[in-house]
Amino acid sequence: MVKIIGIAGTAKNTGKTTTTTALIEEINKRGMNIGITSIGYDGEEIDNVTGLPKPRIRLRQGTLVAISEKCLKTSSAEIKIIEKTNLITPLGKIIVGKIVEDGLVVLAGPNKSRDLKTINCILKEKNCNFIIVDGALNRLAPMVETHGIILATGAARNHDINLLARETKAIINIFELNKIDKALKDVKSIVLQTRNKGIKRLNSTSLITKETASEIINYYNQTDKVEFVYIPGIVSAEILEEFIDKTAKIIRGTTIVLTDPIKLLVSGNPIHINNLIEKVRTLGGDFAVTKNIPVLCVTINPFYPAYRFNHETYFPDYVDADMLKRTMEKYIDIPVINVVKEGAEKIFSIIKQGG
Amino acid sequence: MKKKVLLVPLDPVHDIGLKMIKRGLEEAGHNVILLPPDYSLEEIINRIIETRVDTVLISRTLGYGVAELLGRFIDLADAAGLRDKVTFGIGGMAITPELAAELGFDAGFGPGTTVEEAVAFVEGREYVPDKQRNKKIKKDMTQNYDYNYKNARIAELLNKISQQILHWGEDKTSPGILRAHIRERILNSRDEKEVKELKQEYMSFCDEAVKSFYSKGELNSKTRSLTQREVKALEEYVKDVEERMTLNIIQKTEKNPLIFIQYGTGCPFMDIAHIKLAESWGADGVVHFDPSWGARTEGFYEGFLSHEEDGSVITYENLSKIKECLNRNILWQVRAHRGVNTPETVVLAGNAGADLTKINIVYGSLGGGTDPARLTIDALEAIKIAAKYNLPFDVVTNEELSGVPSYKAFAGMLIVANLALVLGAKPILQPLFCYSPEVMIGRQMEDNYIDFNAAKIYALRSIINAPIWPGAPIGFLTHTEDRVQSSVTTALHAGLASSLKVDAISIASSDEAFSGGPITGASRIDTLRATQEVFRFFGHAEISPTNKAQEWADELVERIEKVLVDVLNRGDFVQALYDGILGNREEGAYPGRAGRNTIIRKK
Repeated sequence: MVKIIGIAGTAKNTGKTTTTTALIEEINKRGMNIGITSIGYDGEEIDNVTGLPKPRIRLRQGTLVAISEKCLKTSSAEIKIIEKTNLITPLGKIIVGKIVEDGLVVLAGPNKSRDLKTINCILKEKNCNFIIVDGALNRLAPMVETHGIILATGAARNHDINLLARETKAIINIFELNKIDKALKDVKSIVLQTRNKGIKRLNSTSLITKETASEIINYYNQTDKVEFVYIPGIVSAEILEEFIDKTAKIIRGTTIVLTDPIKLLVSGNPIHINNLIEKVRTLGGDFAVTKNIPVLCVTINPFYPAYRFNHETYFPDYVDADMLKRTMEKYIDIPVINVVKEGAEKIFSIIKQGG
Repeated sequence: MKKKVLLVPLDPVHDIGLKMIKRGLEEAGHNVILLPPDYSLEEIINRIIETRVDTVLISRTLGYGVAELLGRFIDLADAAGLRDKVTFGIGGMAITPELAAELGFDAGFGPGTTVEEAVAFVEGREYVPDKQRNKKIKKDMTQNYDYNYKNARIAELLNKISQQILHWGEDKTSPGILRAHIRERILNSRDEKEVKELKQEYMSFCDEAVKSFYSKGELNSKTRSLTQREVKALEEYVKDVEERMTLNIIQKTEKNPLIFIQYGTGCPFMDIAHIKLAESWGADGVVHFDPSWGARTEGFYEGFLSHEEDGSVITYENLSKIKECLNRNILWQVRAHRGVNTPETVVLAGNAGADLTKINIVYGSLGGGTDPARLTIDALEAIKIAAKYNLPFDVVTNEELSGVPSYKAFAGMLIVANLALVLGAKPILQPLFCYSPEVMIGRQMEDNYIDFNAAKIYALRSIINAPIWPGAPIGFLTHTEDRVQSSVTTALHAGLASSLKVDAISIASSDEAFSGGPITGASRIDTLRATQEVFRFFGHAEISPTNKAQEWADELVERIEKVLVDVLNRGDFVQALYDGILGNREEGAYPGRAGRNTIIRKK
């Protein structure tokens, strides 16, 4: 089976590129057909924001890449175009190419979910048995098109190690929301389902306005207990909190079902969202998803760009790497890996075990 | 198809760009909604859903944490299912297409984005910049001039002096002239044997240093041939640069003059880099600057040569390579003006495809170091060659920099210009536009730099209807080692030149006077950008000189006439140069010695 693995970061400089390169090396060692793409822009020499040097991505002969046309010019590897797509990015159309001579590659590919889905299909057709999707910044949304993600986090997200570990725990909790199979088909807008199978369809797809929240509460007041609230769109943390407050007494027995965990993760601070999930659970309700994305492991990076206020420049700084790993492992129960120290062998075996 | 567009200022203050885009989009018939700047990300998403727009344009200046905010916004839009139906563009300071790719947008627009570009994005069209607007057109700055004299008395004097000079030259020639004719035959011959014989003959009119090149292949210690590898690297460099560059335009209005820069790093490769830079930042023309030893040495080398000091060696190969790399809409001047190779330089310039050359007997004799008689006979021939190749040339008055007062320098310039008209060539007047020694002593610029420079233009205009190209460079001697100061003063002189409606100006780089070595690319850009800003600043507005300008102009004309009378009365222009009538030793003008006693009587 083809494996599509996303490397998602919690912020810039959390080690996405380092993880990506190390994983590519592992896959190369095993001689598997590998396809690589990115939902952002990666492989540049100097960071776009901080001006600090960045790790580069070196690819070997035979690797397939799905990248924007303009990346061809800035890459030193020789790339033979094997297919041109009509998918447009700020750096031109996306092409699928094969590395014919090893070298550095700048990766910028499909930066939205739908385009990533198309690219994954093309790479599968070209017999890739391993597809790596390099992440962008703190962005997660297109990762919905992967089979699992490696979460890259580190001091660049927060150099308070304890807070970072708590946040990582919260992110994993959200990713690990229960998957339910008995989802309604064709949920195009918010749907409420009662115990006796009563159905109410709303016009809104997302829970982001007070009006939508009131509509749901009104329905609660009119009818039997609501068993499921299906939300195909997104939720606003603020509106969700207000909704939970107002339904505190009646939410027992209700499961709020989202399409995937990313719909919740994009809502804002993961610790806050996780607290809301916990609150609903305490009140006797729950959250679930119709599609889940497993977090296979967490990679950690002690580096962070520190800001020199008097010079208005950034300089590299680090938190204690061992302390970071120990603290992280105390909070979460999936593997925590410092790729620079440990390499990516373990990551590869986790992915393999993952099905 | 008409589109519905949502404009979102995520920036609390800088939404002016969006307001301009709003107007452009509405003029193109699109339905535009501009949000107030205080919406939360979720509220914006909700508005996108409610309004069912096709396109969202966000304006935001990048700052700490902003990239993450924009990334989260796109994630929300993607998770809400909007990325399939709606296109998202981001614009603002420091925004690049690369950053837009990273942030998840469909396009990124940085500073300098035009409204047309934003409209094209909304309409889903590929943006093609208005080629007409950025199109350089090679101008012939002589075409609107009939060279009619407005001052009959001066015209009469000049014509009489021209006749004297022509008469003087009738029975004379020089090694420089003979070489020029041999060179022309070498360039036109396809017969190897003939070329070999011609080179033998050429050698016989050269200095030892050049003879040993032709006989033994020896070059002087600071000169060497470029290697094959260097030539290949140069070709790749030019190809790569041309793919990425566009020609900029400095002028804001039709009356702004053409802008020339000088190059002469010694190395043709480096020269071409400077030329490409100048083309990119909007120069209209470039001037080839040769080494000073080249003006004193009889004869030219051949080949593609690099030289370790100022000035790039004149050879047919060097000039041809530079021409090959020049944008075809850029004017190219090869200076011939001051040395013992003047006629041959014009031959090479003409054959290599130059647009302009530069000849001045008076400056070349009194400031450039060539013997007056030798340069006079050589220049007569050079002017004829310039006429034959249809190369207009400027007549520079740089002897002013040695301390010669402008009225004397102008008298000399007018003598050469009139000689050119008599011989069927097209002269361009090149008065100095700077803080010359004359005004330092005479205090004409104690109050401002405007009046005396304006006086020079008024004076010339009252004498003859001819093109004027102040130089060289403008603002000379007002520059210091401070790059900002030098750029400002150059640009303001350019503003004055424009206000006086001259045809062209030559500008220096901001480190030219004080670099003490190579000129840097950045300083080249300084003065080009500064000049562009000054043209933008003034537009059609003008600088008004005080009454002093006209007063000094009248005085200049009166004094020019007196000098011309003195030259005519001397009965011999060459002798007038030796005698100091057009600039004497006290004023810093010394008749040159290079090529003295080399005139050959015609048989």
